[in-house]
Amino acid sequence: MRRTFRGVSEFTLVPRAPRHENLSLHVVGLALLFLVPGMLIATLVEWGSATSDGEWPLLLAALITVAVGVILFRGFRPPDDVRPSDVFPVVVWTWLSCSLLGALPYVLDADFFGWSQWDSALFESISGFTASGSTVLVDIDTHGRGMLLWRQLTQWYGGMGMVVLAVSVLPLLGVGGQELMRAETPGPESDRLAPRISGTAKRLWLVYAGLTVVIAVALFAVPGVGLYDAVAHALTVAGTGGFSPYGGSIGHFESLAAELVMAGGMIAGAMSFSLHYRALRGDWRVYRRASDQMLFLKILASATAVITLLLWLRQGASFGLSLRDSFFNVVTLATSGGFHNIRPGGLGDFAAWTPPAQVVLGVLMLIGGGAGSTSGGMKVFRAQISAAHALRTVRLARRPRSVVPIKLGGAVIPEPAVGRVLAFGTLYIMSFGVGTLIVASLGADPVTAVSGVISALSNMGPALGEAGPSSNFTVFARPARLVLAGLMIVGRLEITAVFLGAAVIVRHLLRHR
Amino acid sequence: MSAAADPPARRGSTGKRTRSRAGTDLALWASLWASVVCGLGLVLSGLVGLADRAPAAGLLGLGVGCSAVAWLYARRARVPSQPPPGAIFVAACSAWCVMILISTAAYLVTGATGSLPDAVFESIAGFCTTNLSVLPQLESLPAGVLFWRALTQWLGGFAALALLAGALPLYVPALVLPGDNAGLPDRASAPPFATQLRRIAVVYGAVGGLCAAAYAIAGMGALDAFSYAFSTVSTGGFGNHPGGLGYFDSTAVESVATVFMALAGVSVVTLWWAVRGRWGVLWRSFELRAYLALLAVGIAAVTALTWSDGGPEALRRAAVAVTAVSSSTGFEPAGWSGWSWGAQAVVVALIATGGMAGTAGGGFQMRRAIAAARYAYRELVTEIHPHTVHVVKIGRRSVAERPLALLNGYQILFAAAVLAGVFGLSLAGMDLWGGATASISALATMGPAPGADLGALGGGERTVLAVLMALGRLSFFPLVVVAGGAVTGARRLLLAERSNGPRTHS
Repeated sequence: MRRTFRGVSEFTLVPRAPRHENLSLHVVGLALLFLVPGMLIATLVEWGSATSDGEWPLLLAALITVAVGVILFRGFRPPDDVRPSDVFPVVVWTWLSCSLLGALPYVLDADFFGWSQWDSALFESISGFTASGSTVLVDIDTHGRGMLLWRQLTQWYGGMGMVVLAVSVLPLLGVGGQELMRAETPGPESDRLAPRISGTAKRLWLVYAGLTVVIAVALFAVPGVGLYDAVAHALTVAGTGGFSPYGGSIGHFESLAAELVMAGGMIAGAMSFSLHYRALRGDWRVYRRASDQMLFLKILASATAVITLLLWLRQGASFGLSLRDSFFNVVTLATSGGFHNIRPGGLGDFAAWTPPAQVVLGVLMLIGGGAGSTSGGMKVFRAQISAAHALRTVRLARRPRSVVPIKLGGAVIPEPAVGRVLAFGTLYIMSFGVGTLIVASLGADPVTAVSGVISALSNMGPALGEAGPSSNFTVFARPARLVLAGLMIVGRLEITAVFLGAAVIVRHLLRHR
Repeated sequence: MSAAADPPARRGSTGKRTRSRAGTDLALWASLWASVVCGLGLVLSGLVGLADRAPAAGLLGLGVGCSAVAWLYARRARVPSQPPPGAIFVAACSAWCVMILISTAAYLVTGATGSLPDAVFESIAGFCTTNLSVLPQLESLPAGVLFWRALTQWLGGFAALALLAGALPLYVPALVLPGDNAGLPDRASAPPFATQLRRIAVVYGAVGGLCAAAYAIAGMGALDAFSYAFSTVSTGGFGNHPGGLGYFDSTAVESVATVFMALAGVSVVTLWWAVRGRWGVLWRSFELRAYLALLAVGIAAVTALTWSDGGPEALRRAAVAVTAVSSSTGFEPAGWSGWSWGAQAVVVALIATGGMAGTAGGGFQMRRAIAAARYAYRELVTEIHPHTVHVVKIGRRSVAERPLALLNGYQILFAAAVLAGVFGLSLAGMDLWGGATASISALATMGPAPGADLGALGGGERTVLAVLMALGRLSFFPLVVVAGGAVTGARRLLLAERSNGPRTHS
């Protein structure tokens, strides 16, 4: 039986054009509509600040986005039953569409990028929505506040995920909702916080918005940080993005208090939002029960200690300065935040640190934060399972017939889940290898290429070498930037969704050729 | 009641004692035979030295002494019929240690170097078939020492193949020796160890002999021809002259080296069946096709990326370099640190990938790479079709789940070792790129690395590189299992002492 509208039989409605079944375009339309409030807020800020004339590009982009969104959302309807293979193209199309239309303000404003630099605009947009924080924008401080706020907002949208946002208001989806969330949310399984999956998505977004407000208020309380700065940075701290409306990032404020608030916000953003929700409901011990979250905190502490010692003993910096800069940079890299605190007399430029400290930072970039968070990287639980599997392998080599289960936090991990993690590792290495070969072949030196690819796959932001925090991604050739942008999407959707989405799309196209 | 409880305890302790006895017996047997073989090698090197009218008394004395004493005991040493994998790992490690000790003694006795650390490192590099030489003034060394140096690599390669034949069918049956090649044995029908060893010796020796003959025809002297042949077929890379193959400045020598380096990257099992006239095996082997395709793509990529630096000459240069790095033969391509970044990245990727499984070469190896990719593909398919049963295959042969689990563990250990190596080398003073390439190259038993200055290695760098070489040469598991066993044993001893302490006191 065909779907009816609000319980009214379709025979009583005015005849209209039939709506085609297409889950991807339906969700894409809805996700695009969510971008419009952000664009309008940025327009108002741009208008009010009178720092430049970027309000018209923003308004025009909002109008185009709303038009496309309405057409897709109203023109297509979700199918009655959603198969597992349907969800991956949805996620891929949603991220591509949001990135494309999110780049509209950048290309419509000739002072920002303009049409001649469409690839830079696309890179900036993808870097925003994937909460990476790598930038090709030069002289950031000279641009209008509204445009820069839109740049910040893209990271806020992308932090929790556009598909999760769409799922929160799509009760029609039914079966596919959970699969959709699982495809986009970082982590092993999406943790159910409510009987309905849309309820879970709503709660996650509420916690995310609440965390943003708390960070904004805390930052506003720091002397020297204005309201605009507090809000703009809170948006990217909660999403562990890394964009800042200042070229000097956090170093602009030269404030230890601001660094501490932001580090706290990034750590909260890099831990599971499901756990935050449960903690807010009164179960504060939930963090202690999550072994990967506790390990993440231990990794932060250990890496800070090691790098502090290296900076203190090998680089001759004072202990206090070493501790301050190692802590902030360890947090910003481990959480895939990507801010930097380069300031006069400081040690913020980690690309100039002693090589062993940079190796530690590289490993932190690889591992990333906790499951169910806004951070990037391969995630701590995958590192745990991989390490446990390697140890199990050594035991299997000695006693080939033994059966050794993998346990995390006292619970046995099912073998299919272990298999997915191991396959993720292989796909990560393959993506890393192919990406590095292409980027190095396009002229980047190896350290810059390797760290740039890891940074893109981990949605980190700055890299090492020439693309360090004191520089930006304009050091890469323009084709290499597009490769890195693609890797950002691959990393944000945890590789599997992109591979499967691409495979399903190609199969669909071949079948209908 | 006590009578009922006694038998299991007795059985358990007897079983443990039997396992431990088997381990000791096998380790002793392997060490003694390693001493015999090394002693004979030293005698041969001494004879080569005598033929060259160079002083060879040290080599001959040490060789005769080692082989004679070891032979006396080796004849009476017992070999357990079905040793457990742990015993094989202990035996492999102890045999390796004995060979390194004998070689160290040889370098010190002959005066090739007066430094113990230098002699130990040279021996480790030799038996790990890695071209990381620390001996100064190679050309002033006597002929016997140069021959022994090359022979260590040949013996190291042979020992690695023997380990594959002896240990790996027990725990990675489908991954290494018995492959997808038609007519090859699987776990159930694997030929006895002695038969496999004989086949390996025939193939390995024949290829080495052909290589030496080809080098001689290409213009090398007898000593150089045999030395370079040993280091070519074992994928070692030691040379009698500085500058690698570039010293000869001969296209013929480079062509011979290219062909035999490419052959050294082909599985001895595949070569065995080809020698037996089963040419179809060559075409049916998926891994061989993948290896040849990788060589072709690598040569094309390096040629294209270095075309501006020499034009058509780039093709010849790329062919030599790509076969050298793919097979992990350590002949250093001339001027590769000055190549474009892309070409260097391609070369490092090829070093990490390595050649086919079942060779004396190192690296991750093609068979593992193919199986890992197929495994990842299966997991992707399972995401869409959760209830499907998908068997991972290489060519026409399916791979069992247990070897796949070991493969994934190997992959994690490989990546972790690279990261730990980069950290250790950077701590010892190397820069990031040099540390990364040196770490990958040592782990792949290649040796030289683009962007890394390995001319004057410090103590810290040598330690890290030696550990990486040993891990790569022994395919991780033997060394990790033995090291893990040693740590566990030490902990138990400490705990026992702690728990005994108060009781004794009270």
